[in-house]
Amino acid sequence: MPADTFNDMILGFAVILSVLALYVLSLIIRIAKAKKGHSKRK
Amino acid sequence: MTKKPLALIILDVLSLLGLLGALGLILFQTPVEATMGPVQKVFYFHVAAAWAGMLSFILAAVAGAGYLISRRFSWDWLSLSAIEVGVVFGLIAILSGMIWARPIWNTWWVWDPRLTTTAIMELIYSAYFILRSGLNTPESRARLGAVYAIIGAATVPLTFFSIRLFRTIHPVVIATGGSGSAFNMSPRMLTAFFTSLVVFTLLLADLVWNRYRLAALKAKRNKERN
Repeated sequence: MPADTFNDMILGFAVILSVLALYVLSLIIRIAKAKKGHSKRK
Repeated sequence: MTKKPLALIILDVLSLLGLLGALGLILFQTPVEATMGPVQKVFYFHVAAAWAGMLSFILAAVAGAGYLISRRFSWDWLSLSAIEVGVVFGLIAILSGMIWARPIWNTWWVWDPRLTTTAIMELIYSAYFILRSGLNTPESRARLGAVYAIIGAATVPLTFFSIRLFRTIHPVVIATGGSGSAFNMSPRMLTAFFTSLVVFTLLLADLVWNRYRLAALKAKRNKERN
């Protein structure tokens, strides 16, 4: 009988996907800021 | 430089679809492991993240060497991007490992050789950003960053082989023969495992490329400012 670790699995995937999503979001914001600064100077 | 290349847009889409596909494969197609239960499914992304992190750090060292040889800043941007993305993947590997360990080892963390060397690797590469922020010129940032990336890469084989060199409770995932591995993977488990490795490698390429664009944009902006 396998151990009941369903909640741990959900927590694991939630953490993995959240860290990835936060990093992607930070990239999007930083690229948008850099583009804005770049076009202002133009 | 401000317009996103079509190839990168395609890679963005492929990475996202790949990630969702791999997640679906893991959740709905792989069997539940007989002893550990559903939490074992975290293993596929845990190993893939660790793999992508280590690959990033190797890439950073190669790019660092590229800068020292050519003195072209594009190599520095690549090295910086690879380290930033590698730290994110390293963090994912550590956190997912802790979540996996809690019900299986009955603790979030032990000072096991694999866990310790992984933590040291993560801390060394996190310190890279402190080093860069303390340097004034782009040349010194690139030069010292390159040397640091090359020296830091020594932690990668140390972390990878730690479970073979020292006594450890961490399972050996890639083992010749069934006896050394954590559990015998069924064909469906192996499919999910290798799919995750491919997807995280794609994701690594995609994130590094996007971060490289940001570094190039910032460098251009700073050049205009001066």
